[in-house]
Amino acid sequence: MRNDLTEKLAATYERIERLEPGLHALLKVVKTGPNPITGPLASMVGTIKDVVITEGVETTAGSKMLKGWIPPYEATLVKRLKAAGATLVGKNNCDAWAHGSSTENSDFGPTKNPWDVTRVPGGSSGGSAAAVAAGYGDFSIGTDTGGSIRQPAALCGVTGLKPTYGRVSRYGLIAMASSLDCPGPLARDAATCARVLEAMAGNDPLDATSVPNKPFSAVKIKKSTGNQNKPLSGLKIGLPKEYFGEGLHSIVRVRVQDAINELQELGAELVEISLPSAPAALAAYYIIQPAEVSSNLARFDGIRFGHTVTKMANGEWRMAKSKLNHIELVKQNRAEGFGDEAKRRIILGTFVLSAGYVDAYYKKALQVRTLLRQDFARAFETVDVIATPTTPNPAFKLGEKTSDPLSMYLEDIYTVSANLVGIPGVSVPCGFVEQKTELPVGLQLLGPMWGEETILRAAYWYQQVTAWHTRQPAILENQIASKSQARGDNEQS
Amino acid sequence: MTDISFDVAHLAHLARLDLTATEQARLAVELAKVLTFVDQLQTIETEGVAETAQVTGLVNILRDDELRIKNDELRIEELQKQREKFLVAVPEVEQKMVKVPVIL
Repeated sequence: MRNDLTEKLAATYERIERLEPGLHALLKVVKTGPNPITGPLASMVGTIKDVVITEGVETTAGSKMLKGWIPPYEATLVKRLKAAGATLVGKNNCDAWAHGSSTENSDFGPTKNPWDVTRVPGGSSGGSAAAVAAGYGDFSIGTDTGGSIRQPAALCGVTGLKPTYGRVSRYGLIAMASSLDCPGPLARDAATCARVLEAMAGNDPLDATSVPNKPFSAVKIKKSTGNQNKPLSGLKIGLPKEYFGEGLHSIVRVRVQDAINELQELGAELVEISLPSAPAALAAYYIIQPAEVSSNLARFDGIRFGHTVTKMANGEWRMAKSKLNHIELVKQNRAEGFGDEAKRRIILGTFVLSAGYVDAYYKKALQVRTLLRQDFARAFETVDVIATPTTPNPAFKLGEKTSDPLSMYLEDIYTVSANLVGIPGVSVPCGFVEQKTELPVGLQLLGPMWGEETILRAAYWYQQVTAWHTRQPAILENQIASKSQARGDNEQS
Repeated sequence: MTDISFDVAHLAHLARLDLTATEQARLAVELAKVLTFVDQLQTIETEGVAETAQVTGLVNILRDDELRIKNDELRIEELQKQREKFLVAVPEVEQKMVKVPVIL
């Protein structure tokens, strides 16, 4: 077993070395031996998004504010993965502070989509999705505040799960929006996501928002409710008309509809539903999220840790600290340490929370959040799962949306509701849009609070009868082909 | 609501951000666009609707007030170790303390 893992690790590092120059899915490769612990994840290799703190391993959140920062403690989820036997080999690139839908906001350069390196992998967990698609191990841990696991999973053709809020500890997560942030797994298939979730899930005394007594069992997702041909018998799937309207790419619509038909073939019953407040979700999200961002990013002052204007990267003093008073120094540290998107969200969040506007914006958004929760609660009285597209479009070109922040924000249109409501959602590969290259499409399955078992079960059985999740990008096949070619040449010589 | 003019310089001061004039001008335009987009919320009737700030329903999660390490000497040793670990990341340290510029 150990020897297998040693070989697997060597192959993973070799693949990373070969593909990484073209993809940039990692900010750091962690060279390590096989994890000696024999646990449920003993043979598994994974990577971790760089907003998750790893003790003794540089953690930057994709921002130069934290370049060179070596955390003195470990995130609970990392501790649990290691204790379950997983071997962790790298930190994934992401949009700085997880702000973005393309990884183009990373201060260290974007990640490329393995299916087409001229396109974005999605974001903010774009490095995680690209790493899984490129075969850098079995899984990656991403974080999802408005779609940041599901959207890149869809764009890179992998499976990505946003758990119920409170299912996985946020301790050691560099906070973006604390009432929305959910760490979760990305992997090729739903069964692997379930195993990784099982290892991470559960109450943590270090996170007061992690909910007690909510165990999750990975084996249960394989349970069939019908006979061999109709394993999803009795499952009711709601199709919200608000998610299939204007703005949805015509081929994406067809692929998602095909997937829904497949679920029906598996025994599920389809029900038309309505979520009247859903169209307003993105607007509420772009008030609540920046409000929480502006508060969470206030801690980065460059005094206790992080980027400071007084010291250069090599440790030499650039200017005497005594020349600036405290406020001036903090302002300058933050001005240099934060990129454009963080500044945009800090100012927007400060505005919606400022005296005179807090009622019109922030309070209003919190009320709309209540309406949205009521919509979903009502829907889940009649259905078990809600099926929608994960994104309106396949992967877009690098640079296509960077000059227009609002068009980038619209990428989250189908995903933000789950975060505002707190419910779990999984994105499942369901086909391709054929352009010059094949671009993956994702089906989103949403469940009620603590409904991971239900949505993963639907995803698991879907993946038993389809092969979309097993498809690999050409970049990988070409590399493998050229490698075996090279090996063949060597043998001849 | 779309008419609001906001003072980016003042917001930047509140948020402790030093922004250049160019950044301020660009942010004013970009934020106006985002605020126009979110203004659609004003058309939704929310009279009497409660606010949702969190979704777990958990209230006052407190731990027991007891010492994690009961032995005084061991506890001091542990705290010193922790302090060393944290001070590594501090840009400027004096006598094992974080050096901060004048406040006033």
